[in-house]
Amino acid sequence: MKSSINKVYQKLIYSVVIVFIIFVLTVNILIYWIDFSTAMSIVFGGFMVMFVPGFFLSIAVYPKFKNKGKKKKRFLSIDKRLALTPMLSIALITFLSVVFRRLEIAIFSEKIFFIYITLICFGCILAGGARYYFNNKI
Amino acid sequence: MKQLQIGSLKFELKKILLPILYFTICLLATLNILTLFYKIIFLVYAFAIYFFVFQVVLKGKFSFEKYKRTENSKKKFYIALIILAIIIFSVIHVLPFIHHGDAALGYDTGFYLKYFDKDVFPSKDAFTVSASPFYYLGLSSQTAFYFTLALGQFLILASVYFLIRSTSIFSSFKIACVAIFLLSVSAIQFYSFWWAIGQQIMATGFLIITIALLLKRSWLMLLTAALTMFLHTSTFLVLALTFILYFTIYLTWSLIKKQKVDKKLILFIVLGLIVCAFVFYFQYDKISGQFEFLVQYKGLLKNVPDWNMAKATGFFIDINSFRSITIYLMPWVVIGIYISLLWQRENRKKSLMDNHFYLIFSTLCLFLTITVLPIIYQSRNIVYLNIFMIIFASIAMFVVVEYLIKEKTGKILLLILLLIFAGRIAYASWTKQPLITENELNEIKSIENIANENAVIMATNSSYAPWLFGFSNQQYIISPGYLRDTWGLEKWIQFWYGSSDETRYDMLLKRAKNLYIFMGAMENTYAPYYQYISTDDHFIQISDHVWKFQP
Repeated sequence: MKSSINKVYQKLIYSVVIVFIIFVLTVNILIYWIDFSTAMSIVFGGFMVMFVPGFFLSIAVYPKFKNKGKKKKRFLSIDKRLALTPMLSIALITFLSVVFRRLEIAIFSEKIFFIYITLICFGCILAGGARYYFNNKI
Repeated sequence: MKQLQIGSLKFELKKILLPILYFTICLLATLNILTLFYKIIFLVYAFAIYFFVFQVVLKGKFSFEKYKRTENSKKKFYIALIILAIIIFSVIHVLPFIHHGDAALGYDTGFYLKYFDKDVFPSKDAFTVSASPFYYLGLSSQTAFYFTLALGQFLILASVYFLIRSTSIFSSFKIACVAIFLLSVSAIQFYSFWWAIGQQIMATGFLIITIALLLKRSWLMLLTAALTMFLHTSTFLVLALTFILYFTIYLTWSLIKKQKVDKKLILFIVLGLIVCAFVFYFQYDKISGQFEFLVQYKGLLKNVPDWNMAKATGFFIDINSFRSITIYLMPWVVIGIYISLLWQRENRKKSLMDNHFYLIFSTLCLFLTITVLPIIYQSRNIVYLNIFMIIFASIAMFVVVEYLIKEKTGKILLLILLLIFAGRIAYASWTKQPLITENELNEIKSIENIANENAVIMATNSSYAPWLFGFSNQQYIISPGYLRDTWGLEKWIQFWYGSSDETRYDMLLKRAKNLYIFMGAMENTYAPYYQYISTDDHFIQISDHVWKFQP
């Protein structure tokens, strides 16, 4: 049991390292093309918008990375999770934004919108983190 | 084994039925689109594939165990294939802009661009709201739109990968990789990008992911289904039809097999209906408008007048073009269906919802039906059908790829095939001409320098409506049948082809005094209205295609 959890950790660490390398490389490339602050906001903002909420929401629903029990299939392998991640992120942010927009709730100024996205990200991280913690008994 | 006896000859029924069915479908696929010569060539191609797959690769018998055993071998090749697919995907989405500049894409570009404009952004429309983060990150409205469009297509790749990986089919990872490659080189998917059908592209990814999440019985499907409804009503209708089909088959199956109905699925239906009602409440104005259009023509194309046909079919390629473009896939699709259903029969599960390929096959049949039937937005259903055709084609192609990568010659052959696929789509992307020339676009952009903000801009051909709407930076745009047009068809006919120039003058005078007229390169220069505007003293020519009306 312990070794399989270690493997999951290992995969997670690898994924984070890969994402970090891609992140740094992309920022470097963009700095040469556009100015630094725009490059940072595009890459970091894109990461916040398209990766964080969906990834942690997927963990909140499917806390396990591998199939460990026959009865409850609450697992999702890393490749499927990564395919689902951008879709869930966009679904969550767009769905809530459209509802707010229809209710005439003013979140559509640049600053408030990013505070709102940051709150969604934090909410998902907390929900996903808590579910992962209790299901994998770290 | 059932046998068929003709005279003294005995045949195994299955062995005869399969080739007969295969060649009949292939022959039907050629009807009305190929001449006799090309029909023969296509049938030879179909025969070659049939012979290669069944006699050379499978040697008359399909062993799924063999594929199960080798599931983890040669994975590097498939990872390379997926990387190649993403590179091709990125290149073909950038090529049109390198070749043709700003307005490289087709008809809907201008309409969407207006909604990405800073004055109206973000509108209440879900598609523009989905782009708002990128807009706020500092991208220009044009870049944000193009980025969202390409992102929507990328999400289709991700959703198809997720769908295939979520099924329990043999070697799902490898089949998913082949499907991603085929999607990235699919001309139909590229054309949907070129036609800039943004809402549908974005919604299609969510349609597929919702189907995949339903197969996984995940609550997340409620979120993605709701977003599909927010994004594009007709895609949601297709999703609703798919779900109705699934649940009808499921309930019938459960009744026949005397199985208990899964309570979770019943709960999904109830919650799904609640979510539908919730979104319907928010989207009432948009959905009711589209329903009115459907009801007006009773949902059938035969009731639509000729002048409104392009809009009613969905502004996309017609069925015969679709058949010509995708005909090379047909043999693969038929073989893929055969293999997947054979596999499903050998791995039949108790609950229908776990027999994924029965459901995916029924989805393909549903999409085929709604594409073939002459209903409103018929052409748009091509996009969904093409994706599901590719899913089945990838199963057959995977079997061939597995055979070819064993040896060096096979690898070389495979590489040549991949290059042909890539070259074909790159060529299509590079040569696809925009609907407007660079000069016309520059003239449209410069209208704001000569006309004040209350000026009325009128196009005499509706093909220019989106460009004037998106690029002229003016509020009052009139185009035949679009935007602020109040004339209707009869008055337009009178204006275009009527014999009296005085009537034309009166009509324009009633329209506006501060009027600019745009007549592009697509117009008929011999038509009476063109002759009148280009020669009469009441009009001053500002540039090659723009005239100012001087009452």
